[in-house]
Amino acid sequence: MAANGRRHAALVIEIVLIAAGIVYFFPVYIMIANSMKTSMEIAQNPVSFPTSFYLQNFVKAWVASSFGNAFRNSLFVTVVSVLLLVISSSMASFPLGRYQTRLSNGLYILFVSMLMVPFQMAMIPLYRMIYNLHWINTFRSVIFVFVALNLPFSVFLYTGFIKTVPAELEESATIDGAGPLVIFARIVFPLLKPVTSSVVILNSLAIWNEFLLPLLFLQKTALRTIPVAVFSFQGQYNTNWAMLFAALVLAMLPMLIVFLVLQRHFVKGITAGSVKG
Amino acid sequence: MTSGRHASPTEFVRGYLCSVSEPGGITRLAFTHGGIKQFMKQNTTAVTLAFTTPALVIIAIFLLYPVLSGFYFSLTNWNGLDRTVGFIGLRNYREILGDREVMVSLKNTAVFTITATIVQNFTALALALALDRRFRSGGLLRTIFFIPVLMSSIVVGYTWSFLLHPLFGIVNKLLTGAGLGFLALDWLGNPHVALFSVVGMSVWRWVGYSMVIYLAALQAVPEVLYESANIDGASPLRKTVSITLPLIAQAFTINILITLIGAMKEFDIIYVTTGGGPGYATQTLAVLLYNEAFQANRMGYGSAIAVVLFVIILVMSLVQLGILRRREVSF
Repeated sequence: MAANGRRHAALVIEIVLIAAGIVYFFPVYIMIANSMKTSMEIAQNPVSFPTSFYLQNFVKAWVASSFGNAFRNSLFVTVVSVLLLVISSSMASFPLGRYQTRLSNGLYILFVSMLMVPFQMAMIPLYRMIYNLHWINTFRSVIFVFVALNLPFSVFLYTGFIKTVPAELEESATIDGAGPLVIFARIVFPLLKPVTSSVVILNSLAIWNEFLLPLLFLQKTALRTIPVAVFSFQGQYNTNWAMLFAALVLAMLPMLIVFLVLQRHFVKGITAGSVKG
Repeated sequence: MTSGRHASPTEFVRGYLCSVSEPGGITRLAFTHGGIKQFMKQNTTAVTLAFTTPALVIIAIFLLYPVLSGFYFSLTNWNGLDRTVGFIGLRNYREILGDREVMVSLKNTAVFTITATIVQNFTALALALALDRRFRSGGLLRTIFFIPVLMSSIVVGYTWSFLLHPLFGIVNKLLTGAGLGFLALDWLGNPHVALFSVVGMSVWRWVGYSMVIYLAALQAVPEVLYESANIDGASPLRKTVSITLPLIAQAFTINILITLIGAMKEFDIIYVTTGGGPGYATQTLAVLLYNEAFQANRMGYGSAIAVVLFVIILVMSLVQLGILRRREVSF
């Protein structure tokens, strides 16, 4: 009896959950389905499965938003920023996680306290600085600001992890005569692989989708990243929903593909900084 | 060379250089100093500085300096165009106190933040508790709830603008079709509803993120505890309240903090869907300060609003950490 009742309860929960999943997925479905319809078909039947499979939308949206160019820009900015982040934050975290000196503790507190600073607080002076440096419309402006904004959290993740890695290997390497930089690069960094993958995933996700920063600093059409390109595309074609949906699907696709390939790592990456905080 | 507790400046610099450049630098110096321990002690400072320098330089230039000068700019009337910046003391802050637009934005920020935090965490927790039971469809559902996290707010904002459109929006069509025509509102154009519509979009986008954190915490709860509760004949509700919730308190702390801070500075989704309108109905501090600084060219005043936002976030996070940390249970 009791076991039976529990099985019924489980079934009810599963059905409710599936219903919630369908409702939740609905906007994504609408976006994808309507990206393959003509504007006429969208107007007549926005909910149905596409019948015309009008893939011309993608070609037009690709050309009109210079998507290829925006994709290259997004990729370049994300890859370089994440690379710099991984190098600078893993290096900084090595002494912060290893030494219990007053200096290393103080620096750790400095880094972590930056977690509380909202971007808006730095935005206006940053704009003035980038402007005075003549860095507006350069990739290095967004890259360095991205690195600075995301460093605190990356240092937090790396330092927490380094504390859990035993130091014996490093000590024996020290006796064998290796300098700290060599020890770090050859021995420590490879051991940090799990947290490196978290840092890469979380930062790629944030930087790839960031809108405000490239909107401020990359004003030239040729330098636009995907979110800014879609934003200005919408400004021009705001009545052409068919093309807009195609552009939205194009904008979503790269991250979705990466996620489907690396799903396990995404989940681990997000929980890494939270569960053992 | 002495082997005292403090290295002389020359020794320090040499130690710094050796420690980072050549392999073997450490041992050579260590042996001349009689003992590796002694050397390591002197050299942690050099190594710490050498390894943190790249990160420190970037943080100092592109985050710390801007934040500190933000406080200074909030005391000026800089307009973003002039080379000169006029110091006007606390006049910006006095203006904020009398500025109705700021007060409305403050209220909107509070409503947005509180509603988003509650709804998002409640939904995420419910989903996580349900998904923790491992259904056959669980993996697929988890993926579905996570997909919006991958989208940029531009994509989320435009898709929802289409769904919520007052004339041809699908949401209203479905509501009318279901005989709920009275619920078919102008979701983004009605000043009483727009803010909550924006909250809905933000929650839709981020629920998967919180859910993943709650799920991980749930899966870390030791199975033994449930087994012994079963022996005691505890009901499912009782087990959830007495075992599960206290043991995932850490996930509460981090999730509530993330949503709270994220919602306080939310800009993108509001900017691309309503732009802060209709009127000022969805204008939050983040949107207001962007408009003041980059539309009205009032950089000084915008900086003062940024300081207000910063102080609120700081105080709320500290208070919240204090309250929630106390309720955590270790196991």
